[in-house]
Amino acid sequence: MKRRRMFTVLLALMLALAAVLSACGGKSDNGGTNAANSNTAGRSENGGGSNAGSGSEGSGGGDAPKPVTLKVLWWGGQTRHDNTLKIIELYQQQNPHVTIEPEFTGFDGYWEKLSAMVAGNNTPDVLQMNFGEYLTQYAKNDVLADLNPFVESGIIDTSKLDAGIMESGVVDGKLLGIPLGMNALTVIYDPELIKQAGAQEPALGWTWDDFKAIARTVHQNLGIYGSPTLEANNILEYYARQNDQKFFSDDGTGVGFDDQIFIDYFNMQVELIKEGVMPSLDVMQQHSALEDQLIVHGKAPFDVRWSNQVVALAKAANRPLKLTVLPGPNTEKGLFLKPAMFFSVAKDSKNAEEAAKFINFFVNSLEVEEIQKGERGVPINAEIREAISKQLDEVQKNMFDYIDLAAANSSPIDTNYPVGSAEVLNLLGTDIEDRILFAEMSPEDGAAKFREQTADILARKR
Amino acid sequence: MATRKAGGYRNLTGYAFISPFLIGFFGLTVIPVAMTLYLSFTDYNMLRPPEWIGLEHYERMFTKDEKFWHSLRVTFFYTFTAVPLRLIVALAIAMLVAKIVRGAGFYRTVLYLPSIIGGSVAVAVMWRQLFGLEGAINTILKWLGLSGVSWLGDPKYAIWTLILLYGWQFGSSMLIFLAGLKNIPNDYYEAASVDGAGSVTMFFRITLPLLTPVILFNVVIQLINGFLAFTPAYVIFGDGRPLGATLMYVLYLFQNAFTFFDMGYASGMAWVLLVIVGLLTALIFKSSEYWVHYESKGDR
Amino acid sequence: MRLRRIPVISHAILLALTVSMLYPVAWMVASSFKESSSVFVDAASLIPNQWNFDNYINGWKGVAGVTFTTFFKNTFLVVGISTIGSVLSSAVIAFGFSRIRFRGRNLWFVCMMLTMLLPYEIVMVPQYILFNQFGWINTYLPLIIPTFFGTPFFVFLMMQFIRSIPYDLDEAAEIDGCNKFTTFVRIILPLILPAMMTCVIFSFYWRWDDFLAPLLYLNKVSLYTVSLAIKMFSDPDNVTDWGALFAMSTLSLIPVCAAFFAFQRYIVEGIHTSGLKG
Repeated sequence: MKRRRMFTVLLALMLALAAVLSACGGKSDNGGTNAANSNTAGRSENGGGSNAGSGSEGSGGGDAPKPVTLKVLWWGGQTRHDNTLKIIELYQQQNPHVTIEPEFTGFDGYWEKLSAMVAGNNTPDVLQMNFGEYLTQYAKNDVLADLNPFVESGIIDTSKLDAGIMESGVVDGKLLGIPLGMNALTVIYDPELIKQAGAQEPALGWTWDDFKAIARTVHQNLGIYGSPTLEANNILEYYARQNDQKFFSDDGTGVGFDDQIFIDYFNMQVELIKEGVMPSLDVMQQHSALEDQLIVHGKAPFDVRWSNQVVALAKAANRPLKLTVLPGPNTEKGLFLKPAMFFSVAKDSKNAEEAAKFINFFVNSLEVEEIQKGERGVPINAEIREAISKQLDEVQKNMFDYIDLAAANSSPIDTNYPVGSAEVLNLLGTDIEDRILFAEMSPEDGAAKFREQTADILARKR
Repeated sequence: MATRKAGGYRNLTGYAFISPFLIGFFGLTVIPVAMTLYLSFTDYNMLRPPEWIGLEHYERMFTKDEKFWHSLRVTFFYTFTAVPLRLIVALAIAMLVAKIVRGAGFYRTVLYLPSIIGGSVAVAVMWRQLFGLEGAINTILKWLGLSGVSWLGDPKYAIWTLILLYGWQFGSSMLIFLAGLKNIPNDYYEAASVDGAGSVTMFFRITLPLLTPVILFNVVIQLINGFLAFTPAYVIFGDGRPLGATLMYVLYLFQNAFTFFDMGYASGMAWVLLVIVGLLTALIFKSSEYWVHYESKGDR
Repeated sequence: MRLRRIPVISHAILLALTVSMLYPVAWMVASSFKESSSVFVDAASLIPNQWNFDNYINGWKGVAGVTFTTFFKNTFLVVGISTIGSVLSSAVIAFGFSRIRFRGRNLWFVCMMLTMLLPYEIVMVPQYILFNQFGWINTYLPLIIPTFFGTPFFVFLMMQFIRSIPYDLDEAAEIDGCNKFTTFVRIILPLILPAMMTCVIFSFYWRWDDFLAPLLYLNKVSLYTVSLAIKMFSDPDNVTDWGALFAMSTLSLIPVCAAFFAFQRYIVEGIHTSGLKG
């Protein structure tokens, strides 16, 4: 009997909770009118203007701009979330008619969430985008709006933005993303270790031979590794560009460089691994996190990374590390500035113009960068870069200085990433590279296999 | 007894009881599930409406995709090693814990702890430390006079770190065994000890047979879990390295869906998996008629 | 309390096991007191050089003024309701499947089992499209409503327990004038309490740990759950606040642990209090 009453009570409780819950749901639906509106707007092709209609209820003024709501989506860590929210608040103060609904996640899960949103016709107005496969995919599938009209009409002021890096957001003649910051590949080195070993610090104009020589000296004299193995996914492209070639062929059907380049690139490492100058791959596997690299532990004097990753690396190492360009010859042909990330606008956004204004504010206001201080990469606006660099800490200042150095010694990025490039990079980075460095496959066979399978993948994806 | 009327009443009550399932199944589950089956016959990248391509995905899977077969082999090995390991450990420890009277709650909680730190980033970092070249596991091996092993870097051993992680998180299976053990009435044991049965006899005559329903449950569920395992491989090794040694089936499926933008292919893989696991499960259920013992034979 | 023999050996084995169970957990807790940048550098040491509580303070702050107080409250709400929902509904369904022989029973059971065999990663996009049509985005409904229609795992588990209860009990109850529903409530439900509590523990943990569904369906940070909020600390390309991540992961274990400790005793005691004498 007693037990039965307990069950009844539980059941009642369950129903009550369900009632409360549905009330909650209803309320938040009303509060976020825009969410519901943009859903319907996205679904029905001619449902435009529903936003403006619902929004104007609140505003009295006749000639004031119509109230709009923008959904803005990005990925990042805690710092970026806090910064961006401050920036949004600032923007809303200056533009009272705009309400921004921020949505943000960690990097983990971002693309899953965005895919689902696009599939559900629920694409946010402004979204953070990545260079490479992601931009290509979203571009080829017509998800993103062409921003050229807004540049032409002066809503997005590109006069002070780095023209070279702006090219990275162009796919098939359409401007689909505005870069928010720049990165470049860099060699990070520990000057103290190199000095101890009695080798000469690398400097502009150094070559792969110099790199090998320093690595060997450090290994012989200090008994540590001379360098970690190099990630083919990032560095092979540089190596190909050094030799006047591209990673992907211009027609997007296959590998864009000669087998010999591939073979030379890997032979260098195979050789150094054999000598013990570079660790074998199973040692490399131990150190996967950024803060866990060999250089952090003082087990190697070099690391090759994207410049934005230097901050985390230097913090973990907790001693001065210097940055220089990648080894030559022809460093300036190989090196390129890369967009750290873009802001793009959804093609079916009903407020594309307001979205463009927001992006313009983001890249052209000093106030924005004063809040985020290069957290999204080095600013692409030269004036802002100049002004902000005085407010930075040592590590960040190094990174900014390096980008200046890289900018002066680089060529434009190759933007011909075909659909399917993610699968190609996955093939290279997790399969072929491993086989070669584990000495299960010769660089020659690797080159042939890479060429053949890349062509297969790209043919399938076209 | 079985008049028409009684049968109708029975059907009605039966459906009444399972109605929550039916409502959820038809209201929430069937549509998405059917959609994935449809998508497996299409070229679909989530950004654009699907396009019908017939059996193309399945053809590539079975005839051209080496990685598909490779990931299937990895998953079979993983499942058929990790699942027995976990179940045996779980059963042994459950029997041990069941005997403990004092501090039983404490032990149970501690033994369950590994299961609740699950597949988080924290576990990934910690597990990598544990199995590092100079990590705790290799240190212990060296004490024992054995040479250390490159657990994370050597394709031969990498999968074992995942198998051991699965075994280490035996808590949930242990709990189910415990509940099953506690469900065996004490009278049975009392009667048997009056008859002079030893503890081994009691285990094989009473414990094991009466535990079979729970064993069946654990085997089926763990088999499914094993085949669907994804998170540990993803957070610890990320992309199936070294040399694809940790490329679990669902990890490869996930890569196809969200990294390679091939949701259609991934959906096809999901249905192939469903058929494989479905057949294995059906086999186990069929065999259970011979080895599972229910107290309530004829239900009505 | 039948087997009181050789508790010393048992205790010894258990103690050794305990250590191997606890070491990794202790490592995580220790790391939560280390300075964020030194988590990897001092990875081998179990005791931090200095005890640093900043990780907890910084971590708790959360994002944009929404602290972990909110995230914990949200999680408790979602987890609480969905656990009650899924365990009770599963018990009802389990009774139907295991005690009533009705037409089509096997078919529906197979259908239920099959729904367990598809990876969530595949179903999630179609499901998102569906729930979006319902207007459920940015509410807790997608996380909670489905749990009220039974969880196959729990249904199956409880079925196995119900099937090991002798049928005589049901017959006795029916002679006493019980119908199926009152038999279920008065006889079966108390007897499967251990199984139900097992389900409560699992459900609590699963819901607590669930990341993908909250990620997809919750947009406002004020609605975030703990597992979702923890992921915000890490950015593989940038500075990850490992200290805060470990600190919040540690705190996130506490409720799950507490729930386990609170409910585990029913798994053991349930059967004794109700007895099997009929």
